[in-house]
Amino acid sequence: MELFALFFSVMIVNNFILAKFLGLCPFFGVSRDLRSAACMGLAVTFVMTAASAVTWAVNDHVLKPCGVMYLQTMVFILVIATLVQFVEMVIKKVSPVLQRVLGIYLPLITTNCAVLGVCLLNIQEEMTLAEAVVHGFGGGAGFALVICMMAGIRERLDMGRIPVAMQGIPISFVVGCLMALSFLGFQGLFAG
Amino acid sequence: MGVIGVSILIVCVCGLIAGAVLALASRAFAVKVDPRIEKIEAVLPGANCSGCGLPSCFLYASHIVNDNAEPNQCVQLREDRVCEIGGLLGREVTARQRQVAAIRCWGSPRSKKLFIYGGFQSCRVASYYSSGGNACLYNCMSLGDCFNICPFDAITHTTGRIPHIDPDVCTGCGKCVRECPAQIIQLVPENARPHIACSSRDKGAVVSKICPVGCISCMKCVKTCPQQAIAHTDGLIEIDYAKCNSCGECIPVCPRGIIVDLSTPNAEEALLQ
Repeated sequence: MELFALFFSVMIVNNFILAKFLGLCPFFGVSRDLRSAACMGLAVTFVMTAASAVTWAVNDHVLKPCGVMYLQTMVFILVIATLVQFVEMVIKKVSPVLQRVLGIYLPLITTNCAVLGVCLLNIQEEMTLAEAVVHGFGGGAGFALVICMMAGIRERLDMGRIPVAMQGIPISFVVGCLMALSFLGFQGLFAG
Repeated sequence: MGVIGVSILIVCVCGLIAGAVLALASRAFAVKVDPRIEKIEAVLPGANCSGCGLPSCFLYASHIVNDNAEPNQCVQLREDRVCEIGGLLGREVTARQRQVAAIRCWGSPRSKKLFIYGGFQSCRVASYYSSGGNACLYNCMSLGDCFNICPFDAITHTTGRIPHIDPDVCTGCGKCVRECPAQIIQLVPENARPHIACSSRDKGAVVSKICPVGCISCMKCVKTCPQQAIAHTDGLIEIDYAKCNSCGECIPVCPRGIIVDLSTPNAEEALLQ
């Protein structure tokens, strides 16, 4: 039950994009159409879940015993980059279809701040392995949810009559702000 | 060994392990790729225009190698390049006739209007509002959807005038053909001698009231053609370019003057005057 609450709290209430403002570059960069946004969301969910588990293990078995917790950021970036490259190789071999869907998005998110953020938060809040994985998965799911919503809205905005100065990215910023405001309404929903 | 030494050691060890893991993985999970695919992809234009029916040049290259597809499906490839791919594959290939897109309506600035369309400036949207206010449903709405979709800048367009397709730049990828909501763009062989510049399916009496250069289905061209290459089906005159020998006999007999020779320069301007 606690894991369930954690999942929804990180997915909706403490959403990585709209509440913690992490991973904003893909949020605006890859949300032009729904298809690529969905692929990006899928890739981020995948990497965040895997990275949570791996970095938790690295922290627990390498950094903690050696007493070098201050190296977290550096080592985590290294581990995440390796992990993503490794996963890409495996996917290329095992499933060409999945590779076509995630293909170009996987290398893009090796140094994504949302991915690094979730790993550092796992350690900061002293989570167990199961909690860390659920935290990563929920964070990724929330990211996918929000980026898909953004893509849907932007596709509709393309049809609207928008003043020239506001077309494209400027109106997307306004939309992003309004989305963040509306997500604020979930605050306190899973406060347990 | 101080704090700095330990940190350097740990990061170095982590880096070495990560490198070793990746090196082993690249061995274990290596995917065999036919080297010819890369070579063929280099010959292909790389515009990913999907004129061949596949979404990208890479996929078409692998389709050629793996499934023995014909390399002449690429719409932009000239004959010598097709032969080059044939050489790489080591089999006989044939080039095909180059095609270009042509708009089958040159009358819309002068045809009858029902109302002035002031909505969103897109043919796709305008087509939901009585063909953008045109009395003719087979009318070029002149809002430039084909201009926007063209990946090769072959189409020039000013609002209110029919777009002009430059046959020298056009590759015949067919994107505008699929995009046009009125479905009045057609792929014709390069230098098509007779081209019918109207795609109306309306009856002659209706057309003569709404457009000065619309086809009135008088059938003169159908009767004149010595090759029987022109047919009148479902109200639409169409030329079968497989039969047409470009004799041009149909051009002078058309009473509306809408059969034109695309190979002459400025055929369009001549018609509009």
